[in-house]
Amino acid sequence: MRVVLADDSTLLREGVARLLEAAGLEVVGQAGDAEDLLRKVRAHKPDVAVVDVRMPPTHTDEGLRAARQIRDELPDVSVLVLSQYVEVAYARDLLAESAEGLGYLLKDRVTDIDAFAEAVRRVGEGGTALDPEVVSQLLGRRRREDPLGELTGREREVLGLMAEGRSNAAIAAELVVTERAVEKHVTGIFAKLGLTAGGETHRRVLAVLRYLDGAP
Amino acid sequence: MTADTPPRLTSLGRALAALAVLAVAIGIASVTIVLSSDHTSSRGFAAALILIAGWGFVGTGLYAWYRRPGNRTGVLLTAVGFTWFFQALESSDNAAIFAIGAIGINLPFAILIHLLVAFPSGRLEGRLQRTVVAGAYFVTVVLQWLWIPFVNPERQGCEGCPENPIRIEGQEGVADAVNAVQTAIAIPVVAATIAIIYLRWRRSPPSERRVLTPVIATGALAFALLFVLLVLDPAGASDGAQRAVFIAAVAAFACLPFALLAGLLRSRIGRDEELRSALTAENEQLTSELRAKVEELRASRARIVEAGYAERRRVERDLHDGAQQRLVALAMSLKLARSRLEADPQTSAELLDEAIAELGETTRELRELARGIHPAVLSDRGLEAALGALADRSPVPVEVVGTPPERLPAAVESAAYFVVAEALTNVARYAEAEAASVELGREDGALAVEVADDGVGGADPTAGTGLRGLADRVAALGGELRVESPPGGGTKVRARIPLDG
Repeated sequence: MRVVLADDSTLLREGVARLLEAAGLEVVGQAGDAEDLLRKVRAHKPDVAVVDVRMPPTHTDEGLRAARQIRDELPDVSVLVLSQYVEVAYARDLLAESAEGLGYLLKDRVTDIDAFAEAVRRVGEGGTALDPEVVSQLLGRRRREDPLGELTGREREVLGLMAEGRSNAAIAAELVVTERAVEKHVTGIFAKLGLTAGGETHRRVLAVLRYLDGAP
Repeated sequence: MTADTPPRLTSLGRALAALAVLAVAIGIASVTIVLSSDHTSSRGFAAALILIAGWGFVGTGLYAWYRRPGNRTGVLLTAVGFTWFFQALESSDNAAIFAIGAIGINLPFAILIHLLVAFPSGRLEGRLQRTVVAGAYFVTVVLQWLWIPFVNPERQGCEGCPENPIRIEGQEGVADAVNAVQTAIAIPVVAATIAIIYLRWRRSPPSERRVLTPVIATGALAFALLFVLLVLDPAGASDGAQRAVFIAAVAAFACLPFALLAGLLRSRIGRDEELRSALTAENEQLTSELRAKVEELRASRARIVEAGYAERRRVERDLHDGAQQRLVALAMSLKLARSRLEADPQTSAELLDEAIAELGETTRELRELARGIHPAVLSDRGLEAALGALADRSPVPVEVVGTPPERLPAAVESAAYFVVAEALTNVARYAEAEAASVELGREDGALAVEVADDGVGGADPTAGTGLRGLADRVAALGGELRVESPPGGGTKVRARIPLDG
């Protein structure tokens, strides 16, 4: 799998590149700003671009804008956005149309090498990786009449992992249960929340997120 | 112009109107007395002179009084007018009325001297002026009273005058003596008056002189005629000559009020002083208001500076106690792990795991600290996203409505954000609320922010530094912050932040 990296901190960029190479991914290009990133993405057409949100010149959300541009221009290139902090508002923006081939993770996650490499790979293959922090913000949101209150503890765990973009197999591995059991939980959750069960994982993510974000 | 409008307009106006009515009545009575007199020669002419001068003085006096209530000239003019009518009483065929007229007949001249000496400010200045005026009143009041009981009108050359009802018989010599003293004092008094007004005119700058000239000329003429009259009698001039000079003097006096009024109204001295005192009063009030504002500003600026220092101390402490301590501990863990790498790989691995966990905590702490200093989502995405994030993190359900979709000035967004953040922190800590709401809206060029909860209320906005600091922050932008928190009735924090700064 081929990766282009963009981060204005050379130290961090080199570190991430080393991690990814060690995990068996191929880093084909590195960029220090959004313009450089777009140039390299157009040239290399990688499977995934790993992009830091804050980059020169304004150090605000150049990375996010570049990410949107890549998705518009080159739909085959997946994008994983890294940020010093995560906000539901950004996730909502990024996921506006589709969760396919999209990741939004806290930058800290790179230290968990295996999980991070797995997330890059998942996004590169067209899947979704949403930071647990965003998911917990959505799940932790207090509501006046909380429909999530009807879920069992295990169902809430499954819902959280679904929202992060994990497949049933990954959820089963995480919770140390059978895939069959996970499927049962998913069906139960969809029934309780009145959602129609989605097919592919990234469609399921979108359905769950829209539900969580829009729930009163 | 404010100086032209007296502050007690209505009460003063009513009093002056009453005086005017009184003057009209007295004038009509005076004319009646003069026209029906047995002993007054050329009654029509005398009545006309009395009426023109009397009403002239009263009318101009009341007008000047009304326009310049702070200047005594109007009062004096009015007094001259009223006392002028004493002359008419002397035409009365009734002995008592005739006597009253005789007592008061010279009083208007003393008041006129007072008026002219004090003109145009209405105040006497210096010993000479006071002495002259005192002399005038002494002659026309004290000596006049002294003279009356001894005078025999017939002997004074008045044919057909009534008898003096309080006359002490056979003492004409005393009357003559008093009369001589009166003349002896009156001559220098009148001379000094003429000198004073002439010197005043001489010393005035050309602009003032133009204003003073009609007054000075008329006054000087009137008093010169009076002076002539005073010296004619001891000089033994004929009654006819004295009569002619007297009529000329009275005519000159009759013109005087109008000259005085014109002079007074055109005089800048009186106006300047009133203007100055009005301006001084206004100025003092403005100054004290300004001083209070400056004091308020100084206090709030001091609090803002102090809040800035306090915030920096907090950040320093958080960094020092948090991230820095963790990094030191981390360095120790890593060194320990390094030293046991070969001898005890198991412990070494555990130490490394600890270090990794420690690092995660450090990053999380730093992120929270940075958010507290400035929420990046606010500058990146604006209020709606930032307030949404605050609501998401609140342990109490929060509904946010009315956030303007467009971007607002950074200082306004920031102030609104921190108002909501602090208010929601207080809701979570103290309110014991079931729910809270955040409502924003634009009103009259300002952003209105209201955070309300259904909790226990009773919050004291002056108790903590949080709300006080927010109030200062909002005030620095020209806005205001109010807290309503009746016990048991929930808490409402309202801020109004002007959008134009």
